[in-house]
Amino acid sequence: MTVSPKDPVEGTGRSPAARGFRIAMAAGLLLTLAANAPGHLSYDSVVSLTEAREGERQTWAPAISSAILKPFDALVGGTGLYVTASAALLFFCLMSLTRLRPRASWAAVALGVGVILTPQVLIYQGIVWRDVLCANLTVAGFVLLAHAARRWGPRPPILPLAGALLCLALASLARQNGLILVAAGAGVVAWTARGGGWRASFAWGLGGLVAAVVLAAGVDRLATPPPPEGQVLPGDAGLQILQHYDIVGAVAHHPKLKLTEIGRADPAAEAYLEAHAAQVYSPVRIDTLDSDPALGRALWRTPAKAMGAQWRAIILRHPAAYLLQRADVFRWTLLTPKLELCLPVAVGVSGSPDMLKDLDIQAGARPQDQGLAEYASHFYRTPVYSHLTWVVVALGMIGLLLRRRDPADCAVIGLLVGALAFTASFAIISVACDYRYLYLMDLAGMAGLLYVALDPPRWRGR
Amino acid sequence: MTGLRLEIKPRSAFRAVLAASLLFVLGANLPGHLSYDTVAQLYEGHFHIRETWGPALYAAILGFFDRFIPGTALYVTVSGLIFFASVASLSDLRPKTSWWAAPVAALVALTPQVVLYQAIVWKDVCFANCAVAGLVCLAHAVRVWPERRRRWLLLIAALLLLAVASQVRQNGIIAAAFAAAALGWIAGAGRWRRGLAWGGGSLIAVAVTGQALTLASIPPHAPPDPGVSTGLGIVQNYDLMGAVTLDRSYKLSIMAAADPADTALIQARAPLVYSGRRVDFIDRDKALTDAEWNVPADATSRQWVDLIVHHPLLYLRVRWEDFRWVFAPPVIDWCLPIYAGVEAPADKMVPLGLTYRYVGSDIEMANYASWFLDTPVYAHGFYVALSVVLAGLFLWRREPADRVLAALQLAGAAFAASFFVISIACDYRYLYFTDLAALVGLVYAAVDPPMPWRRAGTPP
Repeated sequence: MTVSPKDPVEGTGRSPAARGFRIAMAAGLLLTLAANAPGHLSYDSVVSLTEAREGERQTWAPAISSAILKPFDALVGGTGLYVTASAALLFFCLMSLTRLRPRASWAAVALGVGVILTPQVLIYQGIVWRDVLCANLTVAGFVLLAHAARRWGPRPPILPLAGALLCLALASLARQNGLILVAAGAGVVAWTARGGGWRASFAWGLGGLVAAVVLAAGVDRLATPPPPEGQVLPGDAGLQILQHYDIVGAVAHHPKLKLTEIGRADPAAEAYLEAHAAQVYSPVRIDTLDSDPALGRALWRTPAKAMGAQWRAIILRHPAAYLLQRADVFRWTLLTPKLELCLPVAVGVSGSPDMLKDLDIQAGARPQDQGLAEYASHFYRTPVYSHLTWVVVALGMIGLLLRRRDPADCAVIGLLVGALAFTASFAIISVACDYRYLYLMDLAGMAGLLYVALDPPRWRGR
Repeated sequence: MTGLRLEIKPRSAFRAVLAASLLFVLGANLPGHLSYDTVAQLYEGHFHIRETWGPALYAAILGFFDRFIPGTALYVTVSGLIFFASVASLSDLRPKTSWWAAPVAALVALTPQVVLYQAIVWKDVCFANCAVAGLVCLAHAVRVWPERRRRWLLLIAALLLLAVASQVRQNGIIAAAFAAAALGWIAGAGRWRRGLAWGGGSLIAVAVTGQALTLASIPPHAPPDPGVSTGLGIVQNYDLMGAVTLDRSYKLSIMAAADPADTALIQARAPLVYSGRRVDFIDRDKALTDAEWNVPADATSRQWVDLIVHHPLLYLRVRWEDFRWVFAPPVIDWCLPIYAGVEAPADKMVPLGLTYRYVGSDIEMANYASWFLDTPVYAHGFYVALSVVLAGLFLWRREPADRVLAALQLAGAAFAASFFVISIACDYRYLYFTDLAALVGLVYAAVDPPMPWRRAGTPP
């Protein structure tokens, strides 16, 4: 099951098509930078950059995004270098796919050009979002695992393994549900090491998982800046928000539902929530709850303990209401039935005027940004801008690769399975349909497609 | 039980350094730095009109890239790619790559001339990149000379690049002349008629192609192009004002015969505003400016010829005064050594959707470049000296590619020398090609050092 330990990669990546593929990817990187640099920043990005610059916690979002922005911003102010490094990570990994296969097809070059021209690559790679960072790190992590798997032998290659460990540990920090990807990566390592017996396989898998978790915990500790003096940011704010949304959503889907746990702590809040939840609820995004300040007060003034008890009670005693709520939200996140409502793209620089002034970066949308937004809009009604398309692509690629199952194939299968599981996890945690949340699904699907196109499994043995 | 295997070859390291440098330049500077001249030319290129007497071809190039991605980001990317790809390809010109190549390339990439200037949208940078790339293409062509198809493809690429270079700077043809000389030397293979045919033919081809490109880039209904006459008129007036300033006894008698009143005004007021630093100071005196253009152009031209022919020492003194400012500015800060951000009049910026920019990253880049002021890194004289030494070493080894790289070095020095005749301001960018040619030569020398004590070689 493992390839020759002597020189398993000799001769790979030297065909004209492989060179063409790498040139296409290099051109794609440069085009992406020309189109986007110094990068597009939404409100969240500006907050992260402020956190990076000031060294004080500004938000409860993962600290890794500001920690990664920090060294680039310190070198040259702003996000130009960060966007360059992030995009370079993805494109260099895609280039290296040719080194994983003994041959390359010209179809992969054509598909590669097509992938570069999708808004998910051409524009998203220039957006300073942690979802993009997470996706790039994940693809990089699994591509490095594929290189490690291809060179696996009596002395497993430490450099690609270490690189993969770092990438996946950082990816797991960039998104709350990123741990799923670490687990998938550990599965790939265990599978790759199975030639040494089940004990070795188990040791490599578990060891990889523990190493990534420990590394992630250590990095997170180092990366998290202290909050501003006198302020305390809630550590479990994310969970509370999810509970609020689920409770309101459950009431909206099941109007007769009684919020008895909340009522025990605050009868007025119970009454208000039961009466008004359906009016403000939307499966599109949680933000509509903010339109009713009284409802917000009812949610946030209820003790967190009571809120947690209510949430658990709905899950356990009214599973239909909970599942309807979750299914509705997940439908919007995965299928984005009205894409325009799901923030399909963000261009230019926008955020708090005070923060932008302090950061000394140019705000607003340039003519080229407006052009990019218009370009993206041409794809809105096409399958390209649909997570479902990339889910189907991923499933198809998994099916094809399972037929061949060589070491690098298993790593790519791991990437696709990890991305599918990551996507599925939004059935539980999604609070909005923002297109970026499932960006990893699209990118993993594209990477898998390119990998298969380079050397389709049916060619084996010719 | 694990393997730590790391095999890095010098050539891979060299190319990785250059790839990283290109990405750094783009990440730190995109969408590029634009001064008034740039915005005016972008305006012309965008709206297909002609308002300035800057090169029509440069405006067309900016307009071409602006059509794909509005602004200058794509232009800067392609321009930077041309330069870095040319430098990266130097390792293909040599049979081996030394470990010196990567660190020298990194140091070169860290100079302001690369890390900042490569992202400034100036025709001087376009000229320098095209000239360097043209000569590097020529070096590749002579290396693969027996392979007809590759040779001609590379020669055509060199022709196009040098043709563009010759059109975006008035004295850019110098680079093409040295390229033609190198080609003639190599292709002649000892037969002077054959060499002359290759050299002369290629120079004519560059000139004709350049003119054709310029004609094709002039928008319809554009006013007649003044050609070199406007530039020549400015140089003539500047020289004559310098002459009456440096030698008060020198009289503008030919001009006085045509227009006594205005000439008297020039004679009296020129010494008050003239400086070898830049011609622009004359514009501060409106009456003087009016007077200089009131005098018939023919009289001014004859007066200028009189200065050169009958007062050559005074002419040389005037020219030296101008040249010393551009070649070795006594106070470099007065010669615009650094430019970052975007600034131009609103009437040009607004229609293009541009806004004034001088943000944190621009300040940092300018600050970084300022560390090198008053060091040899910011001294054209240093680069000319470097080029002369490198040209000597390359000519000592004399392999075909060496001869072309020697031509590049000599072209850089000759280009600087040409400013003795035409300089009217001390802007550091004017001699940018001189710096860049020397830096490229340095990298080429580092790839496979042409040391006198070891004659490494490939068959010519």
